[in-house]
Amino acid sequence: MGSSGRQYLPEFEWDEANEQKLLERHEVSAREAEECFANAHAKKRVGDAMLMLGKTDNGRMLLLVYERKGRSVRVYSGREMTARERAVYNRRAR
Amino acid sequence: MKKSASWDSLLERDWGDTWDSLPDAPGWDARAKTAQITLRLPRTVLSRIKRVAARRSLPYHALARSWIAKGLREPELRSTIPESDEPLTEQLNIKLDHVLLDDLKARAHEQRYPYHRLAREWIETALVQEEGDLGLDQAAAQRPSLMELMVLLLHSSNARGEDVVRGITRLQKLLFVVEQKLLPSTDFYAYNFGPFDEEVNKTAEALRLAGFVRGGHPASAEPLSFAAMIAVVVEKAGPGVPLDHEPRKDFALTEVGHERAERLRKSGLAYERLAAYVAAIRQEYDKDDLVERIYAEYPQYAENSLIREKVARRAKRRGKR
Repeated sequence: MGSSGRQYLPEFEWDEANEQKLLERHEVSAREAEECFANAHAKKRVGDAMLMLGKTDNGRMLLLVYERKGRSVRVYSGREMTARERAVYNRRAR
Repeated sequence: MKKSASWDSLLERDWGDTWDSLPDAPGWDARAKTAQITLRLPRTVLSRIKRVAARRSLPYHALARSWIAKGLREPELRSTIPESDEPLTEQLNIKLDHVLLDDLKARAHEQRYPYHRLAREWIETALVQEEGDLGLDQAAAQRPSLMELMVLLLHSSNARGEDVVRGITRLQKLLFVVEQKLLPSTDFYAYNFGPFDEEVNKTAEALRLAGFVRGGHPASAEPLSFAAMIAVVVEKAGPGVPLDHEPRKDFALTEVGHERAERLRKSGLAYERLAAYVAAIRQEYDKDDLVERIYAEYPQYAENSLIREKVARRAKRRGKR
C-alpha cells in the first residue's frame, strides 16, 4: 500500500459479508479499496453516500461507493472507472 | 429498497460528466494506532477456543491473535476443515497492530479471498491442531448444555399436549432420560429417588430468576432433606394421604422463555434436530409410568432408591391392568 498516505487512512469497517460481496460482484478486494483511500483520489457526496475515484497500488482505477459511520468508513461497492471518470480522476485527484 | 441495493445502483451511472457539480465529500479522522478485526464464529468454535485458552492459561483473544500471526508465517495455509452448517452467531473482537492487519489483508488480496474468512479459517485450523496436542475432545465442547436441554424440554409437550412438567422429580427424570439418550456421559447419579443431578435444580432456579420459567419455588440445589424425603414417600403412597410438606413445584416456560427456546431451536440445523429429538423423548416418556420405566430401563440408577419396592409394586399393578 502506498506508504505516503497510510497514516491518513480512516478506520475501515469491514465484515465477511461486505468483503465477499465486493469481491464476488465487483472483483475488488478490501486491500484494493483501502489503497484507493491511501493513494491520490477525488471524492464527492451523493445524499448519504460518498463516491471516490481512486487508484490501487497496481494501477487499477476504481469508482468506490462508501459511507462514513462515525469515525469509520464502510465501503459498499465499486467498479472500474469509465473513460470519462478516468479523465476526471486525472484532472482532480490529489 | 435496502441501502446496499440502492447504493449499488450508483455504480450504474457514469459520473464523468456530472462529477464537478457534486458537493465535496467530507474528510475523515486518521485511524487509531491499533486496529481491530471482528470475526463471526459458530458458538461451538468460540467455546472450543475458550477451552483451549483455559488449558493454555491464556486470554482467548490473545490465543486467537497468535493463530492469525501463525497463519501469516505459513505461506499457503488454507483450511481443509469443511464449512459447518452452524450459524455464525458469536462475535470475536481481536485487537491487532496495523502491520499485522495490513499483512493479513495483503495475503487475502493475493488469494482473492475475504480476509475475515481467511483469519477465521486459520483460527479453526490452529484450533484443531491445538485440541489434538492437548488431547481435547471436540465433541465434548459441542454437547448441549443442561440449560439448553431444559429449555427445549419445557418448549415441548407430552402426549396429552401439556407443556408443564409437574414437579422437580419429574423434571429430573425427564432430563435424565434425555441425557441418557443423547449424550455419551452424564452427571446424574443414583440417589434416594433414582437418578439425580443437583445441577437440574440449580438450572431450573436460574431460569426462573431470569424470567424464562414460571412456577417452581426457589429450589434447593441439595438433595432432599430427610423430612422432605418422607413427605415424598407419603405422596407416592397414593392419593388421599395428607401431605405435610411443600406443594409440588410445576415448571413451564414463560412467553419470553418460549421465545428464547424458539430462537435456540432455529439457531442451526443441529439445534432443530436436538429440539425434535427432545420433543420425541418427552412424548414417549412423560407419562404416569415415568418412574417405573426409568427404574426398569436403568436399574443401576435405582440401586439407592428409598421407594424401589413401592415402584416395583406399582409397575406390577400396572402390568396386571
